[in-house]
Amino acid sequence: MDADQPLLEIRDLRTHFHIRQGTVRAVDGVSLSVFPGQTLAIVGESGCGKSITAQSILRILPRAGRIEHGHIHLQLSAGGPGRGEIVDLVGLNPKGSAMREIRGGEIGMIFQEPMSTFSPVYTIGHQIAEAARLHRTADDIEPRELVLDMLAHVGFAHPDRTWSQYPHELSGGMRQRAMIAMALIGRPRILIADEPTTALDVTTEAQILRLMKGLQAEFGMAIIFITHDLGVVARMADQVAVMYLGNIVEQGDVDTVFHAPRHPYLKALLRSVPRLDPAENIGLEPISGMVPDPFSRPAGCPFHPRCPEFMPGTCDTAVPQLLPAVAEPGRTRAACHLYT
Amino acid sequence: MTQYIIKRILLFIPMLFVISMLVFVLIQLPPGDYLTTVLMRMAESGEEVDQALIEGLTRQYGLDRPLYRQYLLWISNIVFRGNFGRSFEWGMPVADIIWERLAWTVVLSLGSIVFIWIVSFPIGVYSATHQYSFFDYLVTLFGFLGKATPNFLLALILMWAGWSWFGWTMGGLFSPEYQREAWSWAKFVDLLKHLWVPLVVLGTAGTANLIRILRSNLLDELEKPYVQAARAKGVSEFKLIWKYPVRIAINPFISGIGGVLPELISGAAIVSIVLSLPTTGPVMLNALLSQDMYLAGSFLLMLATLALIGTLISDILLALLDPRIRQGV
Ligand SMILES: Nc1ncnc2c1ncn2[C@@H]1O[C@H](COP(=O)(O)OP(=O)(O)OP(=O)(O)O)[C@@H](O)[C@H]1O
Ligand code: SF4
Ligand SMILES: [Mg+2]
Repeated sequence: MDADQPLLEIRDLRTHFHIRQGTVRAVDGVSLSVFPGQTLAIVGESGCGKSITAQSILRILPRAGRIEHGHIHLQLSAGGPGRGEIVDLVGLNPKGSAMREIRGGEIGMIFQEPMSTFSPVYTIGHQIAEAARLHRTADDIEPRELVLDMLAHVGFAHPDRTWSQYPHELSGGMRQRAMIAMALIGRPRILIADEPTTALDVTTEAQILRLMKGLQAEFGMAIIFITHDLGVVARMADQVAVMYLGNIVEQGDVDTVFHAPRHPYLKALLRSVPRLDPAENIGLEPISGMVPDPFSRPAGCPFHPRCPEFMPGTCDTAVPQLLPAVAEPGRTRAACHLYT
Repeated sequence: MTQYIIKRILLFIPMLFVISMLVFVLIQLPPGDYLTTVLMRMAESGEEVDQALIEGLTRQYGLDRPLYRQYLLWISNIVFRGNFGRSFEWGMPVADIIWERLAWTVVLSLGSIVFIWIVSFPIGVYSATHQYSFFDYLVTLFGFLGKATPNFLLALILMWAGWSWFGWTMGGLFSPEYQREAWSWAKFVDLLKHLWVPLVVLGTAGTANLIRILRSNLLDELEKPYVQAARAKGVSEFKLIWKYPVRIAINPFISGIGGVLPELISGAAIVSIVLSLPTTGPVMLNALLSQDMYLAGSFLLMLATLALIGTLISDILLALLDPRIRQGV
């Protein structure tokens, strides 16, 4: 496997919701690449389309959501039935068996709400073993053994007891560990984590983040980490993509994004984060204005009504592209007319 | 789990006693009693009042004693001797009147539960998973009609349609020639031929109701994170729907068991009269009107007991289905 070759490559993805009140362009032209073993963080305010991007990849969108445009190229694993071929997930039937092999087998996913991501009426063991039966068919090992092994990996001291416990018997943090075990039992090469620690307290959050890094080192999977917490981004990410209103407005490696941000939205976002050092908090300011409602997207640059560097005549007419087209070291790619 | 069941059953006994007291007070509540009704009727028709009979009855049932003594007499007769008293109106032991009718009521209730389930379960699931499809709209329309049509009207329409199109007489549960026959295969077939009418009539409103509840519950559940999580691990859509959200949305089916009996009793009396069914409804209505207190009381008591048993069964099933209830969280 070539490490320069992306595992997953999204090109100009547009996912829209057609509902009675109109069309919501939840994702509107997102391009992303995920490389083997690396962590890509997607950051952005609530409602900017992070989850819908993730659900588009796995083709598990809500009923009203449709992918209108774009490609999602996934390189299948060489050892699997796909024999290392590249498939476009947009072309697959979301209910078909090819897509179901990919879910949990090639791409695993964990969710924000550890309280409700397990069905309350089946045991933890049963629900994880179900994934093992679907994706570990080649192994000679009993699903139960696989599950117990994975539960031990994610930090359960007594896996055989956890096996027969119900979700309500576990704490939030333990449930999120169980969720990680369920996502990883199929040995996916990409793990999508949609705000996996937002619902947890800071101590538990730190434990889960450490666990994820450890598992990544052990299994070598790539992670798409969705969050709105820049602190978590700094801790986890290799690459960062900043989203605003369904678009990626800035992208780069983690150091460059934090030290040489270019897009006014990212600059404002960084200024709005409190620091530990009080001296640095002097310039703390929230981003002015509100996120526009989803039915009336601004023309031109989606950020222009809130942008301190707004250039009339340019910013409200032409949509800025993510430039430079090819990533350069030491520079982020930004979608802003200041840099064209 | 065993503990839970034992607890529920222990609770069942005091509840029965409370209900028996309520029933007794209830049937005493209207002014006067059967004897005064009889006396009045005899006086009106200028008949000689048989003083000896009146006194005999008064003594036998302690009608001149205080209420709590009457109750104790009544309940101890039932509990220790299986003696439910006599029906004044029918002039025979209550037990001889109620058992067969109760049995038919239970048969019809269970039958209509099964009918309701078989029809509403697949339709409700389909309609939720195909929201806003043509079929879904059709089901919603049927739901409104089913809920809005009074049962007795539906019964009349069916009977009229059966008679004028096919020449069927659809009242009762048997054709006249089988009415007094012993049980045989032919009689059973004849029963089935008649049984579907009351089942449809009694089940339509319940079916419409349950479809509506199942559909809206399932629509809620379909959006839940655990459904998405199951989908994200690669479970096939068909298996996923039945194993995850339906399993949760099914609860009203189970809790419905407890409710069907009382509903049949209150709602089905008129249907039973229209369709001349040998159930408790019509007789009980009469007994209540003529203050035939031991008959009415026994009916009420038995039906309340059945309703309690229904609730008990549904609670136990719910606990079996949901570990959170089972473990008392
Ligand atoms: N089922 C739906 N029907 C209509 N619009 C939807 C639906 N789900 C999401 N959207 C819209 O899509 C947009 C993006 O939603 P998304 O869930 O991706 O946000 P997010 O970035 O994940 O936010 P959060 O941080 O709150 O999770 C939102 O504006 C939302 O209104
Ligand atoms: S394109 Fe214009 S409005 Fe948009 S971020 Fe850049 S300067 Fe601001
Ligand atoms: Mg989200």
